[in-house]
Amino acid sequence: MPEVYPKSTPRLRRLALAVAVATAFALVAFLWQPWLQPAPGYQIATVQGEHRTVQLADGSSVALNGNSRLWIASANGREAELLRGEALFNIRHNAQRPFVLRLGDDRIQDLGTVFNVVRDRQSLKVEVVEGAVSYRRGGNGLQLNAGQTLDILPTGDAAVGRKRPSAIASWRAGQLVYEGVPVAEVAKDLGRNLGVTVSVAPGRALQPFTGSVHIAGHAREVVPQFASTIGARARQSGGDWLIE
Amino acid sequence: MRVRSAERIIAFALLLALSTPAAAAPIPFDIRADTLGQALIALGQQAHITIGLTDPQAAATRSRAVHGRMELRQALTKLLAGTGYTFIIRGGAVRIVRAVAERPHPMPSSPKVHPARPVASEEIIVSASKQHVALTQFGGTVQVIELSRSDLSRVGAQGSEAILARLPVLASTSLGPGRDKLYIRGVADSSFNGPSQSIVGLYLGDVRLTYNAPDPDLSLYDMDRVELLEGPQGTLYGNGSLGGILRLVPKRPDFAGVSGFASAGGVTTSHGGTGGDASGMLNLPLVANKVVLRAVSYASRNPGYIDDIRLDRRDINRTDTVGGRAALRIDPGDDWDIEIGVLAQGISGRDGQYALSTLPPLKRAANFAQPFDNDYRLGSITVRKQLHGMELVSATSLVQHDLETRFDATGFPGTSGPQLFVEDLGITMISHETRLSRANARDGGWVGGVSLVHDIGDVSRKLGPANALVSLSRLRNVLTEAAVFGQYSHPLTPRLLLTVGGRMTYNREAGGLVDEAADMNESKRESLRFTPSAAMTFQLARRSVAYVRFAQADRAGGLAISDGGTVRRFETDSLTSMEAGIRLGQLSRERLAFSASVSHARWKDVQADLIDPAGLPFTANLGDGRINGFEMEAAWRPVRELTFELATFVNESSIHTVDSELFPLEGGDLPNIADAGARGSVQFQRQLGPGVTLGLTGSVRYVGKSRLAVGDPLNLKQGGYAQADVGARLDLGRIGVSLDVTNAADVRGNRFSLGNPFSVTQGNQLTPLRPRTLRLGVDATF
Repeated sequence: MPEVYPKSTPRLRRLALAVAVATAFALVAFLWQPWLQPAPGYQIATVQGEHRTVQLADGSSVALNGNSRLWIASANGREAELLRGEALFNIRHNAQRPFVLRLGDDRIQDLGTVFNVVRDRQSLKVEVVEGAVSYRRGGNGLQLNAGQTLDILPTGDAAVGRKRPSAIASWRAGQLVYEGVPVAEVAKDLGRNLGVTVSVAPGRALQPFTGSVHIAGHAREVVPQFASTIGARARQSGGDWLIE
Repeated sequence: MRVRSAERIIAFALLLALSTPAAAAPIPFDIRADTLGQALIALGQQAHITIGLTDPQAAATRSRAVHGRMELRQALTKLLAGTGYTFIIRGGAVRIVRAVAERPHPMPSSPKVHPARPVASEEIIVSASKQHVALTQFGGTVQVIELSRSDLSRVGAQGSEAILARLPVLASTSLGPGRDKLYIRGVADSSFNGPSQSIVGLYLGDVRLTYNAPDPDLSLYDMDRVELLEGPQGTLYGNGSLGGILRLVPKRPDFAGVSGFASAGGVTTSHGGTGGDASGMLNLPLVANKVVLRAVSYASRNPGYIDDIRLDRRDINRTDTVGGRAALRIDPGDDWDIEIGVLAQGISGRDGQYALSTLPPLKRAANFAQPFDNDYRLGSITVRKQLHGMELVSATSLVQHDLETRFDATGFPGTSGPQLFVEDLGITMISHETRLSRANARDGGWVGGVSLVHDIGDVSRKLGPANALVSLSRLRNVLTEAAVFGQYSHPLTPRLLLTVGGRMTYNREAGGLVDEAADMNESKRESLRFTPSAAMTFQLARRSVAYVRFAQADRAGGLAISDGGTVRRFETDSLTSMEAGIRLGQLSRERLAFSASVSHARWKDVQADLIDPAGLPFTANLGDGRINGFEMEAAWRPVRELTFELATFVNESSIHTVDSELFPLEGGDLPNIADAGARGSVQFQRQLGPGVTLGLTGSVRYVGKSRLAVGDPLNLKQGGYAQADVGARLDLGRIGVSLDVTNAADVRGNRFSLGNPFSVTQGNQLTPLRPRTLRLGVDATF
């Protein structure tokens, strides 16, 4: 009788090859890890509606909201710049190597912190959830503690305010939370989160809004819903919305 | 009678759909007595809705506490009681108004207005919809299996078998891994392999895997989920999606950092041998946030359990699988996303997995080993680009698929002595699809695209004594298919969405004997076909939807070339289906989720791969068939630790032959589909300590009786068994240890009455269930 089963050597060889490849992968992974950290500076960008969390080398993390761009510097990952948009920084404090966030010419230095930053073309907002940060502009500086917010207005004026830490960075849950915030501010946040322009009729712009806005959706749903909640109407022309 | 009962089922389902109160979506609330402003913030966050006010006086009013699970309206009513304010729900937004000053809607009791809510981020997206439609809004019958780390380590080594075990609506033949045909929702043409186009479209992400080959049975390692889109999918997936499509969605290379996964297991089968499996995955960013590589490789040995008493070999049906995938993902910026993938998998079955009913259990007697090889290689590139709310996807792939089959053909007409049959099938396939879509289920949306498939199949068949094989034939089939397709959704009302679509397909097939002397002496055939579809979805509640759908798919006619060289044409077959279904709730949010659908399909000129009296394959049109089906899935989580699931599929079908000369019979069920199938499972999960979780699973699966083929002598019974599986896994964080017992009761059953087409007419072949099998596994992430 002829040999019933052909020799299984090729199969064994393939098996051995697969095991070898798997081992090689594992080995490369372990060897690679330490070399991966000193990557040069890089940029991370998100598109509208995208949320992305970036782990930094030291265990810190940055959560990026949609339409945002972040640059993370160099060797130790302890320096970054928010180029536009919104991000929540959860920074491991290290007194020897403080984390520095650049915002154009301004700088934020962490003092052991979770903080949210919003930057658009004209204005800047820093909100501290936990710990504290030190904010520096030119020779001036101030310290912001948990629950404190700083608004840099287009005029260059700065205003320090308060916000419940639980209401800060609520964008991460797809839900924006406000306590007595002018409707115009809410509209600006909606616009940034949805990638559209939302303006408010002058009569309503300063009304203080308290509530919660569900933003996980399309502007065609979210903006009219918000308008209807405050008893207004939303009109669309092109990519622009007007709440009146 | 049977038709009437199907009508009753449809009527029942519609009644169920209509009687479901739209707002029956209770939400767990936990709101303290506070100022109204704070209470509304909490309520909005808990219900994921937009709510609030602009009146500082109202915001400062004291409001009541609300605790417990209830509907939004009920919660609002409680919250606002005694505040002097009431609410209006309109267009998904809640407005708080003064109760006295304005009361146009004093607590509307009709369920007409319900907050229609945008898609939440944790929602399951049906990517097979090509429009990113959320499962809770999808107008069609779809099964989504999300594969957890535990699933990957425990059933990763298995391919389609793991999916078959979970979904009663999915069925298959059972020749062995890598050589089976899949069926969805009772749409089955025949039990035999052959050149006609598959009835189920198989995809890996956006890439098409096969045209007319058996299921390559890709391992599930490093897959994110499996989507089974039921019913004809002619519009979106084209020809060969009569039963539906099965889409394996791999995990995408992740820019976030280096990560890995490894698993290993040892397997032993009662009355059989031992085996094992191992896998390793690595996700490796090469250039931070620009280039990332993800690769997985695996090997497994599935023990055999059948003995051949003539060859005096034990556990002959052992199967080895070796394979790997690698994907390189590039983010060149500007919202482009490029993924280049390669995949290779080899399955080799040492011998067929059938036994003979005339011998003691798990025994058979053959003159030769009947090994099988399935080598599958795939290269692909997928490009995505986001443009102003639209998505462009272009996927191109090249497949090389080689199958080698050996059968003991002793007794072949005109021969004497032991005869061996060897078939080599080589397939080269190029496929491409480019589509542009706008994703938004609620406001409508659209998708349009072009697709192209070019498939070359070479088959060579040899027969003779083992050392003196003679070529029976060498055939070549070349197929080209080009299509344009589009689908558009339009909201008729905020809750009612109409979707229409269609596909125009040009198909060209050429085939013939490959001569030693001449190149090819070929016949040609061309066709142009249009397949329409339409669907209506109605959003019953936030996570509940009802739908009706009409769809069509067909398989182009072709050329059946016999081994003698005669060319026989077979006609295009076409399946038209109507279905209605509902899907209520989502288990991640509610305690109860339920879905059900009924379908009625008419199948004209059923194409089927068959075998002639000698055992050689040929293709023909059987006749006209129809299938009525009902399916249901329910999941219930009474407490957080415990989940029950139940799924069932019942159907009745018939086929009436037209060619009485070829098939002397007047009707009967479609082959290989059981009238009923069901699966029940229970899962228990409990945290034992910090970072230690114990998971227990148990399931019972029933597969009803079916028959191998239409008409004597192949009208052989099969199926009719229940199998129980149990398992446990201890999750220790980075490491997990699992123990699984499949077929725990060691039940004997016959899955499939075919193992060798040359002697199947003797009616004594059966495919025993795998006896009780134990797997001890370990997995780790880093």
